[in-house]
Amino acid sequence: MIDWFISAAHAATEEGGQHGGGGFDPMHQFVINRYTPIELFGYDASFTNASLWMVIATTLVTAFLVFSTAGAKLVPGRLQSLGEISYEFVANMVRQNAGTSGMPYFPIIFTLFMFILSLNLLGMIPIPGLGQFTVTSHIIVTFALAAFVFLGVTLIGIFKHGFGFLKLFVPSGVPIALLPLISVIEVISYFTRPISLSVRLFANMMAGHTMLAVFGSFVVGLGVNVGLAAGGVPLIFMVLLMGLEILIAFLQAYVFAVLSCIYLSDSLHAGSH
Amino acid sequence: MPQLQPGDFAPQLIWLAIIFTLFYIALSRLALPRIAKVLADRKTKLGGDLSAAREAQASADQEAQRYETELANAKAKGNGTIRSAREKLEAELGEKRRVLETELAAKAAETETKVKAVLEKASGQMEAMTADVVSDIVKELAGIDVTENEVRDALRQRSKE
Repeated sequence: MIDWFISAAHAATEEGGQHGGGGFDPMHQFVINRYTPIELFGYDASFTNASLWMVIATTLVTAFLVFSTAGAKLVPGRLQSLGEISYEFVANMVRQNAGTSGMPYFPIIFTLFMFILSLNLLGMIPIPGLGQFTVTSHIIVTFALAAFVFLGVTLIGIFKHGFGFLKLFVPSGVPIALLPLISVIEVISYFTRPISLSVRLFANMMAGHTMLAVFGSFVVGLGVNVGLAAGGVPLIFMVLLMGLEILIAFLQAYVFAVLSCIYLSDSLHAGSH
Repeated sequence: MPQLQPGDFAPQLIWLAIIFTLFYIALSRLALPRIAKVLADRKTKLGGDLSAAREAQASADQEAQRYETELANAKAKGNGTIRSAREKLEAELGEKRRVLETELAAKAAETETKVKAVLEKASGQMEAMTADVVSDIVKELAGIDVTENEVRDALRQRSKE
């Protein structure tokens, strides 16, 4: 898997060199900048713009959730209400998709959901001096999260059911003749889970932000070269796309969390499949 | 694509691991228990309030029932008083009437005896007068001298036949 990424990355860097030359590059927003070069056990552990945005997002979420319960009231105010809604939203998601036996894993699902949601949303907001950066538009980040979910869920399944976990690949009620084929398909679909999970989030985020950058370049290009009014047309589109992107930011965080819950449910209830 | 620079993978993964772990610890140890506590507190408060309301309603019902029974008791008592008063009154009236009736009866009896005496007296006088007249008539017509006693005996014998 990692080899595939590395070879693909090599191919991308070879042709990517030509983009930086002159003019506008919509992919420039995804470039990693090293703020503080750090080396740890021979590995490059530099503090980058991605790291900073992750720190900002997680700090904001933690502060929001802690302050929302500071001086908690029986009848919640706006902030407290928002915190409780996010809690109950994820709690209901886990309960509905993984059952009450999935509730011990609620904190990690909540963390995943809030992490992805905050990074998606924060990627929509440019900060003066920092510019704008979406951590979840990096495949290595989304793949690491998806691989973490995949490994965690698989280990939970093995610890819960032992060899019985393999029943997951043998659905009940399937004719014997079809079983070898079905099992192979099930195994393949199981192992492609982390790829589909990570690529879905990464592709959505990257496509949205690239599109916004392209439309932004249209606004400036037409506004400067043709006239201010001409720049207004793509600007209207951009405003609408921003709305769509905010929706996608929520949707993709939700999809990631729901699929994690479903995978967790598969592991918890592998025997009764 | 800047996302596929292999040189960027190491810092991305290392900082992702660090920050995600810290974020998980902050949420699971700090933020989530606080929200869970608020929600649980609200649930118990609401449950307590509901049961208190239910208790209050039950006691109100009991009070209403007590009031009803007391009202019924008072009504029964009132009715009893009225009935006994009426009975007493009726008894008194009956007594007075009886006394009056006996008095009246006594007076009537007295009057009757008086009337009877007057009548007897009158009839005795009439008998004497008749006997006298009859003896006079017999002496004049037949020339027989009869005493008043003989006439009276004859008349009595007549009236007996």
